[in-house]
Amino acid sequence: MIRTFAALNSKGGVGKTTLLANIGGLLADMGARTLLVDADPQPSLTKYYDLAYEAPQGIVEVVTSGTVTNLAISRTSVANLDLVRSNDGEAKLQHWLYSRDDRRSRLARALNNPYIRDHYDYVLIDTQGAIGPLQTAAAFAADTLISPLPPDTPSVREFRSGTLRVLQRLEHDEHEPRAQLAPIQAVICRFDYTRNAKSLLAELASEFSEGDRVAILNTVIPNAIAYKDAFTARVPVHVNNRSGGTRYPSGYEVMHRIVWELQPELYGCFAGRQRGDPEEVFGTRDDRASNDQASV
Amino acid sequence: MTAPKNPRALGLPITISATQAVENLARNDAITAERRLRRTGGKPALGALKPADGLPFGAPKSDQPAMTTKALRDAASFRDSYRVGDTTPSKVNLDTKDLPGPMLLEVTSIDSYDHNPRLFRNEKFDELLDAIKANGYIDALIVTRRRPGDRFMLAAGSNTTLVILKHLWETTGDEKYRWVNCIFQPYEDETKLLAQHLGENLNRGDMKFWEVAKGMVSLLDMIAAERISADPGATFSVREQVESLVARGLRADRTSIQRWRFTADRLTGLGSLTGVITASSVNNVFLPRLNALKGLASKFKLSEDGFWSLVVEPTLRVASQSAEREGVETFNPDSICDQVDAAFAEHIGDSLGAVRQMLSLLKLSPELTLADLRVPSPNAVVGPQGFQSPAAALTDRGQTEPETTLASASMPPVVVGKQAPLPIGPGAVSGPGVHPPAPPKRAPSAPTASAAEIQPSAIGSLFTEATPDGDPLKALHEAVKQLLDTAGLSDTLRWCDEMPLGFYVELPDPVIHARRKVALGSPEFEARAIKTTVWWSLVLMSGQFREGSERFMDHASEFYKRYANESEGDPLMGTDIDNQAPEIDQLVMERTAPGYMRPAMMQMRRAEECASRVYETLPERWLRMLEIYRARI
Repeated sequence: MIRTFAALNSKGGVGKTTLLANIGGLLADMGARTLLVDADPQPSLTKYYDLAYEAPQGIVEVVTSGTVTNLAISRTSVANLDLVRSNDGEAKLQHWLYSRDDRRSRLARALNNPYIRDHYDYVLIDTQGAIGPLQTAAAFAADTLISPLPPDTPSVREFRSGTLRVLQRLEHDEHEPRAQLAPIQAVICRFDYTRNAKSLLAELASEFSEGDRVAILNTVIPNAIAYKDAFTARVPVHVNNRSGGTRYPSGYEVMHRIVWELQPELYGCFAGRQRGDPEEVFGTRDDRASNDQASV
Repeated sequence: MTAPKNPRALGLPITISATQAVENLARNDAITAERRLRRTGGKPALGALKPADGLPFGAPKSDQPAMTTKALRDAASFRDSYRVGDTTPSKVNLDTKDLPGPMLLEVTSIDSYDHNPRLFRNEKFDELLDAIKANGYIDALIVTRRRPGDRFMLAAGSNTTLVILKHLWETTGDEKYRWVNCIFQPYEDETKLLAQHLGENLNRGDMKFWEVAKGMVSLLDMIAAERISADPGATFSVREQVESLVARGLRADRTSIQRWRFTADRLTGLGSLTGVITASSVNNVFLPRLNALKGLASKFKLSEDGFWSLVVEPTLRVASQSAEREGVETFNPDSICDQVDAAFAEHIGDSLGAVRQMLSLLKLSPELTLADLRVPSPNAVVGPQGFQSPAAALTDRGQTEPETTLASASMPPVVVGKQAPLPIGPGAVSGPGVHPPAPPKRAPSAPTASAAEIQPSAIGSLFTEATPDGDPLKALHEAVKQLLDTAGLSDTLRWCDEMPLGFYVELPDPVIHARRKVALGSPEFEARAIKTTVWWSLVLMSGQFREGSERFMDHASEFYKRYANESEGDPLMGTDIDNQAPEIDQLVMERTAPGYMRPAMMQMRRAEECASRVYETLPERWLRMLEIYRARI
């Protein structure tokens, strides 16, 4: 069954594109047929990977024509990883979509398409760091939302009162068919290990209520230079950063753990279409915890 | 001695000097501090800060080497990565709000087409309702709107579906009826919209003739108005009308355009009865009878407008009102035309019988003057010596007792709804490779109401009961059948009582009569000549080759289909029969030729003799022949 993830956060620069590109890269490396959809007028996801083939069409055609055809699908140099590139050079798609009566369901209906269902296992939608019709459309197109959050309480509160409240109001939009917002998986980004991860996660989780349907992943993304290096080298971080440092776990480990948390049935799947026991490969959690403890 | 590249506190060579060692230690501390700084994410170690010698503002140091550290290089290439791989922007013009494509719309936000060609309730309404109730609506509506911001409107049919969906949403409140898959089509012009709606409804095949006629005529008027606004002097010939409809994907030809115009312009008075107008009632009754009466009216110096508005329109209105009062939903076109005849008789202050008599005379000779019509002279139609003019025969009957005309001696009473038995059954032809002639498929033009309601019409039906003895028609058919047997063409004979001689000849089957190589002068060569002469002679004799026969021919016959549509090439190509009728001198020569041709020609002469007798004893048949012969299409 096809799964659709969308990155969602009203703030820019929290690492949505990086996270999505790396999840996509790892899923593709695990062997899943993965489609990245860049719904950000600044084509950062489009530029993350080298394009082996640039399709004549992109997100503008997908949204305006209301369907996805192979004309809109570019290939990245990573095997199994395809892309609907952002080609909205003048950033007019938001305005165009805003004028449509079916703005909220448009992207969902375009992606709910036999071509996509037959050719992909995962669809990952990247959005711009703001709240607008395109982000809303992406949010309602996904069956899981991934929200990268900075590791501090004010940012989490802002996410809850801004982004989340707006989307929850749109669930009951009179002008569109009723739809429920997908559950949200929050990922703590740029964690610098200055404090205990467990207590931080517990503190942030208490910010959300039951009705928010927000879960915070146990794996946090360290504020490591490796992610920027990977972006620069235009490869997924699990390729670039295999061994961890003294403080941070490796990009390889972090990305695997995030994918496993998002998709528990993939637990034990490794990049390069390999399988193994994560406890053997990465050591037990207790080891990890004592390492953390030791390094602080 | 130079310092090692990676000086470390441990494992240093023992031979270095003390100063060098101190220098290395200081350097080591500096590197460690730098790493710590980097690992803590740039968190400043405040204790390491020292007062600066001079503020770094002002002119930057030009001698500072760029990108010395890895961090700086990374930052630069990170920035660069935003510049590489710029992809081509989309060509879609996003300033246009209404782009074609699928969309989901609320059913209440869509309107029906405001010039819906469907004027009556769709007969399939309940069927459609049940289908949508059972399966939901699984198709998509084509919608458009004239300007951005307007409400959406159906662009190609489905008006009934929309009504059903709105009804279901209002009554059930079920969300599945509320949201409809739509396909947006940008608006072009009104003619395209109307043409699409007409085309969709015609494809579904349940449009009433009146709706088609009205829709087509208003579409043609729209196109004409468009052409005139583009070029004030533009004309719009029938041919161009046909082309403009075909270009919009609608099937049309000259005659159907004439019928539509006639129906939409002239039959409006039928009011609620318009829904029951059929193509054949217009084609076979209203159009010929009302136009004939119009011709007569012009002899009375009644203008065309006057005729339609003073005679036809009020009569039709009365008919529809009485039908409404009585709750009747059908009508008999012939009886309505009879009422129009009566109204006209009243208008000119003459008897109905006189009007009918004049009509039949006029049909024979359109050039007759009013005086000729009023006082029919024996010279009006010149016939051979001793031959009673059919017109005169009709005149006699018309003058005496129109009500009993049909029961009089020469014509037995009409039996409606039942085809008269044919003198010779089609089953007589058999044998390998011979297709038995199909019985005529075309229904007789007589109305299907009960016999009691039938008003006698001026000419009357040609359907005759066969009289057992001495029937000239039977004799003729026997002669024709024998002739065709002799010529080896018995599979081409078709009975059709509406034709003047009660038969026509079908196109030869290209397999049975395939043309083969034969030696000059051989019996096969002669047989081919016989086939050609006999086939063409009968085709010309039966009247089927004249365009006027169009109304009476069986429209399902190959002959009609191929000759009505001339673009399809030569239908006789590759058969034994030459594709050109023999020239007159050749015909005369074949008539007198000795040999194989002779027995065939003797039978031909017999058939001709029988045909003459038919015309002599059954003047209606001769009238029909004249009608066919003189018809101008």
